[in-house]
Amino acid sequence: MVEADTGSTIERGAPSQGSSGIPATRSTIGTGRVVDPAPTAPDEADLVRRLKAGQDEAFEELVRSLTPRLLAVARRATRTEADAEDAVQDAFLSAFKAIGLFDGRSTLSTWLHRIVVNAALMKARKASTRRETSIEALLPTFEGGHHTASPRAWTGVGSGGDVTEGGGVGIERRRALWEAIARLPEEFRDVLLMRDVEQMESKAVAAALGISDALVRQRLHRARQALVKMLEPVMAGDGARDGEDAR
Amino acid sequence: MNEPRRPNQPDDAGTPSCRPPCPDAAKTISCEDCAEFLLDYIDGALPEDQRFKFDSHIAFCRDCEVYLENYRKAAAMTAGLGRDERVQAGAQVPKGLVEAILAARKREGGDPHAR
Repeated sequence: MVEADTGSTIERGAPSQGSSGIPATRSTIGTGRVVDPAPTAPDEADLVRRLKAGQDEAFEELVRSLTPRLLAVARRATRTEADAEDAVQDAFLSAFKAIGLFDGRSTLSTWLHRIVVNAALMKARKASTRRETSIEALLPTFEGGHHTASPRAWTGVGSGGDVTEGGGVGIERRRALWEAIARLPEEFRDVLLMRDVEQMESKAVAAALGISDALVRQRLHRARQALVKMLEPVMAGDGARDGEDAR
Repeated sequence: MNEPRRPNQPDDAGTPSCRPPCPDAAKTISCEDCAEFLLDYIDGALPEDQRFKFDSHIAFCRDCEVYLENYRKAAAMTAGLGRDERVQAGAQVPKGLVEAILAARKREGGDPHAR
């Protein structure tokens, strides 16, 4: 199944997007920060050329090589295997439709990664009764300059976010984190994904989204504040408990 | 005011959020300002005078100390999503998924912009 809007949530506002809403941005996933556009490798340039020419073998090569990692990404953000597989399929089909617009400023892998993340988050939102929320409702509140309610310490999370201390965020907490990200308004979610998940430099995000560096920082800050508020019930210890991560 | 009494709230006060002695507002900053400056503080982008005020506030305000730590943890957890080793390694692909994707492409006609 393919929805015309699949994968469109991340790239709205990107300067180089086409009618398909597929991002033409640069990034890297978990391999370090990206400042400058990475030139497309010769092999990949050839693959892109063949994809644009509509060669069946090229599409098969792309799907076979990227599906394992994209499926792993989608499983992180969805609750069911079916949703994860649908998200991967939706992402590929969206990418196929937009391959003519792919400009090589990022690799095919990073381009598809963001599409699949958004397809997965869309599935997660549909599966949840919770919808995208206005950012104002997710920010801390103050009265007379003071917190209106005392923040509760995230005792269930190590100072490194459990990532470096415990070898990984437990499944329930990671689910809660993905769900919270899915509830962020799109323009804030985009910045959070690019800055904090993909670890892109602020200036690179600004260039990719066509907004100022100051606005990137402001949106990142608001997005983090919103996560802090949404996640407090879970992370402060009165919400879901972590179990063994089977997926 | 009708908010529930907070753990660090003085018994005889109705409003203060900072643990006593609450810092002098003229010398430091409010909790609201503190929350606003968090990103710049963490990134080391606050001017020195602002940083001094921030540090002074945090030293006295348990609420903001907790909030700062929660904010750091949220950022660290989110960064961890991108470093997930299982994602890096890739997943076992169920039999037939690749074929289903390729078949769906055929049904949907592929790329209208190509060629």
